Amino acid sequence: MSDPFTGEHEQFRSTVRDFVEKELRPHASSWENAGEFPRRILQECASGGFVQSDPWLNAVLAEEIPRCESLGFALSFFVQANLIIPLLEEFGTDAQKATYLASLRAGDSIGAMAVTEPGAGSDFAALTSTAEVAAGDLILSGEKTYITNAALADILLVAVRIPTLADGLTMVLVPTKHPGVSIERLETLGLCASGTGKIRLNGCRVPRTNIVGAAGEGFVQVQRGLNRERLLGGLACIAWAQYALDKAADYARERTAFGSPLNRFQALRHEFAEMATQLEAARSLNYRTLSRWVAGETVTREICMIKLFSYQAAQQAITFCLQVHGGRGYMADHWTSRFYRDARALTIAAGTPEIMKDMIAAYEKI
Amino acid sequence: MDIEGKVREMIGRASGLPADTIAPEAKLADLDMESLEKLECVLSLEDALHVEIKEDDLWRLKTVQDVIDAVRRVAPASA
Repeated sequence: MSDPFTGEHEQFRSTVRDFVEKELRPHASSWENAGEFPRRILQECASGGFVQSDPWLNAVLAEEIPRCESLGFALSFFVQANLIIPLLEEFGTDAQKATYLASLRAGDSIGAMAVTEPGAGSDFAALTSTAEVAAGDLILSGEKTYITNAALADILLVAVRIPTLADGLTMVLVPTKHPGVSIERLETLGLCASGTGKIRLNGCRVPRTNIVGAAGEGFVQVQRGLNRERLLGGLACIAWAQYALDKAADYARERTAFGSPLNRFQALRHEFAEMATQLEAARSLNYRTLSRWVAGETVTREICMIKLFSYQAAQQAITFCLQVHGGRGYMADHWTSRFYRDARALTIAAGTPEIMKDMIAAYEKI
Repeated sequence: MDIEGKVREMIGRASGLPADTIAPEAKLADLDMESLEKLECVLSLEDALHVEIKEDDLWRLKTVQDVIDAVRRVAPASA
């Protein structure tokens, strides 16, 4: 399969790469150390045309934004652009779109999707947050945790059960400034700029019109969102790992040991070859699946394979990059050290390899 | 084609319950059929009945009757 991107896409890529190099990368360390990024950055991304509905332009963004080296920022951006905005565009009412969408698209407000709870991650059946119906309003109670963007968010998409309206999950829009919402930032191993946090809903009252789509349709919405997140996230993590591998190769060409540059040692050359091959294979799977997804085919099986294979391949490549740098790479302020901490999340967030293998085995009818 | 019978048989197999004890109004969650079991059951039904259920419809299934209706919607007219 040839490269799926057209000249127009490549022109867009050049614009994004220029912005990433000039406006984002110089600040990556300080954002990750501070645990946040300036809000104006999302606005600048929006005004630069980086909130797109075209899937191939989103693929370009997925491949370019991680080159900023602040994976926390990249994750925040992708949650906003690839999860919250598309879900509201697809399932939101006209009133919800008028109230929230323009501000999200402009980067004036930040969104987060709150599904995971202390007692339930992949096991959606165990989610217990609820909403009661009272005089045209919903009163929400429950706790959500490990939520990307929580500490930065203005608006939450919260998964709750509303037993009096429907079985299953229902997504509800909740402004974070509402009484009854409290948010606590959580300290994480990596992805520090992404504002990961815990959300408590204690009698939070919102209008019933804040239900996104129909009551009981939340599971479909979450699955749609997860598919998009895993697919574009696969492109992002492969591109990020390739960027890291290229940087590690530069270092291996410069650094000498026993009188030779590191890149002349067969042990390292073979490992570079192994990592490059895995990334290439992952990229091919991602591009092919994206093409089919854009054509409207059902590709959840392949997306599970991407989440399993591509994310692990990226994690392995990042781990190798640290190894190439030896003691220098192990220093907390070195880029490989930060990437290593960030990469640990690749096989935890948005579906573990264990869950993906269960899903793939089901599709394979094993 | 006895769609209802086939659906009850497959759900019985997935849930470990005798097919004749599975009522149409039973909730899949109450039969311990969560997303993975639901996926496996629907894939098996697709194979057995030569039908294809849209994925969004799959994720919307909540009761045994929902499964029966979803299969009927895509089954050939003679079924």
